[in-house]
Amino acid sequence: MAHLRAIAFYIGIYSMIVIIVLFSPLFIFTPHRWRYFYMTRWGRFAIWWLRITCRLDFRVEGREHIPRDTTCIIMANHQSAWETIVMQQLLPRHTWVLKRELLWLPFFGWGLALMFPIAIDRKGGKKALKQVIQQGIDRLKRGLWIVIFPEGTRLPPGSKHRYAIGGAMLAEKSGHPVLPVCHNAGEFWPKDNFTKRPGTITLVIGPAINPAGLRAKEINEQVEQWINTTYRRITSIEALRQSDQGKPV
Amino acid sequence: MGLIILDRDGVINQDSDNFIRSVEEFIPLPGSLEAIARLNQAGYIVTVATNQSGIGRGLFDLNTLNAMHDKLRKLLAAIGGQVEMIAFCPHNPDAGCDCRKPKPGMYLEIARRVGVSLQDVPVIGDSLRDLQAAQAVAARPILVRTGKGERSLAKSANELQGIPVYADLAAAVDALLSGDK
Repeated sequence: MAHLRAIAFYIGIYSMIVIIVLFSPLFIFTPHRWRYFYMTRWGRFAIWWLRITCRLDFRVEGREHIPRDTTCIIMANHQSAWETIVMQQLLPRHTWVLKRELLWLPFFGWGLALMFPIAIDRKGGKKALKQVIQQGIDRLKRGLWIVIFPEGTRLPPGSKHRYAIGGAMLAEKSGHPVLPVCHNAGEFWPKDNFTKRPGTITLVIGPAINPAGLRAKEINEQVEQWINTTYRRITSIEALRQSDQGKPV
Repeated sequence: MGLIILDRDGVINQDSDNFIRSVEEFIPLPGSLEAIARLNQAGYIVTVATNQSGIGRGLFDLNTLNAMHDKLRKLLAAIGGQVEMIAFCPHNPDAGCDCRKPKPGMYLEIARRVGVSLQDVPVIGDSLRDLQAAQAVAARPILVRTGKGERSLAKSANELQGIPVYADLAAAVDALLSGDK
C-alpha cells in the first residue's frame, strides 16, 4: 500500500514538473517575482499532493522570527528533498546554494536554473567559497533570500557533517542575518527512500542571528548549537532525543 | 484547518501588573498547555499575539523574551502541543505603532504569514483590548476570567456585552471543540 501511495505521489509531481517547465518560457522575460510565483506552484502542489497520497503533513513553529525588513541567509539541516520544497511556501522569495550537477537533470534542473541558484562545484574549494560570497551578496541585494545547507548534503537522522563555512562567511561579509531552520523530514521522507512514512514533520524557524561583531566560525557555532538543541526536542526517535548534541548514541 | 489566536499573559501563563520579566516568572496557568495541545489535535493552527511593552520600557530584552517562548515551546512539546507563531509588540504604549493591541496589526501579520483569513477566527484574551482588536478584523472574541479577566468584566461590562466568557483557557477550548462537532 505504501508503494502504491508513493507511486501516485511521484507520478503526480513528475507530471507537474513537466507541465510547469513546458510553460516556463512564458516567464523568462517577466519580473523575477512573477517567475518565482509561477515556478513555486509546483512546490505547493507537491506538498499538498504528499498529504493526499502519502498522508504526510507538517507543522511549523516560530514564524515570528522571519525578519520583515531585510533579506537573510537561511541555514538549515538537510535530510530530505522535502525541506527544499516546503520552504518555498514558508519563507520569503529565495534561491539555493546547490551542487551544479542538479541543473543537469532533465526538466527539474531546467526549472531550477530559472531560479537564480548559486550553483557550485562541490570540489571547488576556495573558488566555490568565493562564488558563494560574490553571488550571495548579489542575490541578497536583489531582494532574494538564500538557502544554504551547511552540512552540504542530505544526511540520515542522527548523523552529522562538519558545517561548511560558506553561509556563515556570507553573513559576516554581507552583514545580513542568518535565519536558522531545523526539521525532522528525514524521519518520514528519508533520502533515497521510495515510500514515505505517514505522520507530521515538524519544522522550526529560530531567532535570527545578527552577524555584527561575530566571526564566521562563531556564527556557524551558534547555528549548529541551535539546530542540535532544537532537533533533540522535535525528533520522533527516542534515542536521538536523549543523545548528546543530537549525535547518534 | 482553522486558525486560533491567544493572548499570552493571563491566558496561557500567570500575569503580573509588574510585567513578566524573566523565564522564571513565566509560569503556565493550570490546564492551559493541555488546552493548547487539544487544539492542535483538533487541527487548529495555534498562534499567540502579545503586547510586550516591557521591551520598549527597557525592563527586559528580546533574548529574554525568546527564552520565555522557548520554555513555553519545550513544555508544550512534552505533551504534544505546538504554537506556530508568537507575534509580539515590543513598543512603548506612546510609540504610536500599529501592532500594539487594541490595534489589530499583530492579528493581520499572523493572517499574512499563516496565509488564512481572520474572518470568525477565535481570539481568546483576558483584556478588552485583545477583543477590540478581534472585533476590528471581524474575528470572534472570547473572554477568559483568568489574568485581568475579572477586572475587565467589572470595568468594561458594556463593551463586553454579548461576548462569551469562560473560566479559563481550558474551559474556553472545551466549549470551542464541542461546538465544532
